[in-house]
Amino acid sequence: METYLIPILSMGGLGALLAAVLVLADNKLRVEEDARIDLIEEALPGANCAACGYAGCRQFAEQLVAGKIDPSACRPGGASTALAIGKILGVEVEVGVPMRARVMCLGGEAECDTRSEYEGISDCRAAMLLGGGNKGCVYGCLGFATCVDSCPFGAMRMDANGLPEINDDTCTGCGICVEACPKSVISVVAEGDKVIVACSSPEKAKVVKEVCSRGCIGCSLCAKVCPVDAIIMDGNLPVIDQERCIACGDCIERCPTDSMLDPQINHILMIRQKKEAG
Amino acid sequence: MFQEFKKGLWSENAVFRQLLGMCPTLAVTNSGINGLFMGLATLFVLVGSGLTVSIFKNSIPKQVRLAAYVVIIATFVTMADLFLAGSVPEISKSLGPYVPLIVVNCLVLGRAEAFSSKNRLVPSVADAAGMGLGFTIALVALGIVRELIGSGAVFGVQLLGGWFEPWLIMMLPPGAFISLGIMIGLINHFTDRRLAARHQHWE
Amino acid sequence: MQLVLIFISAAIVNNFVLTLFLGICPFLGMSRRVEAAFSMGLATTFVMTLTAALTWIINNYIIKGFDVPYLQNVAFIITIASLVQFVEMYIKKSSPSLYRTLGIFLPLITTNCAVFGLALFGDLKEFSFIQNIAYGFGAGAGFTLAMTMMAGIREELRFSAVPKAMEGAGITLIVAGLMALAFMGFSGLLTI
Repeated sequence: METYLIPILSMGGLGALLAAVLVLADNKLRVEEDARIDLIEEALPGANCAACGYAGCRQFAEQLVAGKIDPSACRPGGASTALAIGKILGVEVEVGVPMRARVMCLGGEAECDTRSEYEGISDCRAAMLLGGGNKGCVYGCLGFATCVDSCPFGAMRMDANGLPEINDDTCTGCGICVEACPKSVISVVAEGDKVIVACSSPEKAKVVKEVCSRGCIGCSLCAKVCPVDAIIMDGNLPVIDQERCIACGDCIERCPTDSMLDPQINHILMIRQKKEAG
Repeated sequence: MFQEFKKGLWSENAVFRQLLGMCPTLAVTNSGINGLFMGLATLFVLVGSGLTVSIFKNSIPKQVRLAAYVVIIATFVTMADLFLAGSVPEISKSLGPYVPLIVVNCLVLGRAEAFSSKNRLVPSVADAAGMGLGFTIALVALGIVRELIGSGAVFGVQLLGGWFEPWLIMMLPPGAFISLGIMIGLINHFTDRRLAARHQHWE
Repeated sequence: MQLVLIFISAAIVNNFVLTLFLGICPFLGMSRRVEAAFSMGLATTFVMTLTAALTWIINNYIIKGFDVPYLQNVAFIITIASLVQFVEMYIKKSSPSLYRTLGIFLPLITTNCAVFGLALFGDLKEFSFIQNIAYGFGAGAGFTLAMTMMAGIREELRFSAVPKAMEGAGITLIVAGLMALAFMGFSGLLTI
């Protein structure tokens, strides 16, 4: 009998003692937290991507409850999250338009020359350190996929041509790839934007044509052909007034180097369509 | 139900795919027989704890969930340890303190937490048995490799003759790490799973 | 002096990760970034030092006192689990900023074989109370050292041309093996 009693009592006793200590500790050491922080944290995407500028979703929730930031500051969460947060906090929320990342460069391996051999760390930021990278065009995408690695949602991948592709279903427009790109060649465009010029080179036609077959040459045919005068030239690059634009597509058709795009058509889809058209 | 059993053997093998239970895998696989007994002990603990957790899953309050699981696991581990010490004392001695360490084997707690606590008795036992068997196979495989190259013997039977200069390093920690690393690399290479994942197909 | 030797023995000569194969799971899983690895190491060292103290008391007064060696596993694990829970609560209350950096690792430390292994190995070596604490502190320091070094190497590895099949676990284990090889150079330095 004794051999059963000792283990039961000693372990039971130890367990009870530890449990008592924990219960006491829980009472004494309880941290009073606004219950809304937990609710908000649950409503957030939970990706801890830091696009809002805070170290993780929980911190963001704490700042929200403290009233220091606006619910729409969580871009990855989008409209649904902002509304959910608004409900929890009991505030009106203005919902923004969904945003997507777009790479403002169409000069992949097929279109653009390289000006040197690069042997080094396979990272755009590293390549930048060596005279701005090995691409023929100094303003273009280097293709070492630093942006792809930086995306916390896995919404990017490199295509066969050496340019990043963006998956619109997973891209939340958080803008982390924009920060990561050392060439600043990625922009975040709104869902309502109708036309973009997918080239970042402000150089003259001669300079651009020497290295890239799809770069904008600043011919200003787009501005001339636009029926509503929504395009003006800023140096050698067109600037499009998205409010004025009626999405007629004339500028896209007229552009001799194919540098203009409809950003709402998924980039991958667009290239496939072109291929099918012949 | 056979699916639950099968997945632990290869597709979700604890050592090669999930990378759980690394500590005993590296520590005791300096010979095939050690690996075998460690694997069997873990199998016993897995099945025993999986059974128990599955039976009592609804009676354990949420706050003490983890504590309850580890106590159950510790009980079965003590049973296994004492049994080994009694029946195969030589091997028990060479396994040393790594048998009690099955208590904190991430595989055991992981299965209890992820599967047994949410499923009925029979699937839980099948899952536990599959995982345990897969674990044993992995340990024996690694043990055979290390023992063969490290001493020329397999399960104590000298296979490679005097011409073979044993690589003592295989019996020591560096050899354990490196041989497991190479094995995982080879398995990944031949099963192509990692490579498929890298291509990130969205279709 | 003895305490310093025990510390060095636990931290370097018989490094818990590279020589004794303890704490491998977090070592492989958490060592991707140096800051995170170091924080995890610090949290683990803290828990290990306290564990060494607490389990020594439990071991000598309850297990040996009642002569119930078969209860050692159960007693140790409930002590460790409770200790970690308590530490988490205490840190959360006393220092929210510390909780933000270290706190998330604490639940992971409960199942860290290094902590439980420390209790077991300490018992095998039959240290005194203070010696056991030095042992725990040294073990934690060694764990932190190994984790941080591995994280540093892995950060560099990110840009290297690792064969696809070896990416992840494969190359990490091989690097660990090379580290273990280096640490073997310390063997025999101290026989504690």
